[in-house]
Amino acid sequence: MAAFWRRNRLLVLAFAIVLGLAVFFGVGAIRKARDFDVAKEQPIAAWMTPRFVSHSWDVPREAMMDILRLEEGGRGRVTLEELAEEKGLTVEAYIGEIEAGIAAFRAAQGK
Amino acid sequence: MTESLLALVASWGAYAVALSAFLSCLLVPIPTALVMLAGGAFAAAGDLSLAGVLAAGWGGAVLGDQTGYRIGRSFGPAIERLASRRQKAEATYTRARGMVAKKGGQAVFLSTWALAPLGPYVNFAAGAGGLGAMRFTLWDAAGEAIWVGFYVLMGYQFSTGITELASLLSDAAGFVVAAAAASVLGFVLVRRLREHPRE
Repeated sequence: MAAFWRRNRLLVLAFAIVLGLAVFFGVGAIRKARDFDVAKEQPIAAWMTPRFVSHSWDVPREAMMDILRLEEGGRGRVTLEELAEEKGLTVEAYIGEIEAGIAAFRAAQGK
Repeated sequence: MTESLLALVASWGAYAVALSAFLSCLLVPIPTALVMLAGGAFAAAGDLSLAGVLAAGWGGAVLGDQTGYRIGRSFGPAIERLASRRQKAEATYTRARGMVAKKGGQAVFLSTWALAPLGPYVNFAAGAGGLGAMRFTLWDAAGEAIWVGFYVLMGYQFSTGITELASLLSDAAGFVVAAAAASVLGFVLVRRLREHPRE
């Protein structure tokens, strides 16, 4: 066994390392899969578009446009960060406004 | 990093998807899985066309792989010259070329999706080892369709949780590669143990 170890030291070490990595990633994947919850809404973030928020939070488009204080009209994809800038707000303030707006919309819907 | 990447996909749409797929095939460290998921999620929200995202991701990945393969091919003769200087190296090189010729197509196929982190190296090796361009292209295009289709459709389906999903899938991909490497090394170790049972 000692001679085997001497001759294959690198190979055994590499085997131990990749085995350790497999356990590490495997446990991580299982843990994350257990915590994964599709129904949970993603916190609103600067990169999201109006349609994305509307889709993710299940708010109809018209109501979303009201909440975002946007005119209906053919604008391309635009992120909340860009919209906040246009309105002269910080993106945090704008997101706060949107969250409050969605809460109010849901309250009105009796959800 | 994640946030600005997602903002980039929001702004550039399918172009961001194609470019990221292209670059990641050439070892540029971009979390392309997340970009594919985001492309699918924006398609689900109605910001992008699903077909467009799929085509962009697939096209970018296939072009990136082709580029890696061409680079490998241009290095082929130089590697052969180096190998021919020593007898042992030449034997190894000949054996490697034989393996590429025999199993190269399947290796390329698997390296595009099941063992995606190895993709760029396998493309280079396929080119340098003299795998035919037609065989490379067919196996590669089929494999990339699986990889791109999987991530984009996962993003489309689970659009509300793409950042969590990206981290989950990245661990899963890491697990597959590490487990495959462990199996290969374990196999070699067991064989060596059997060859020298009394040591």
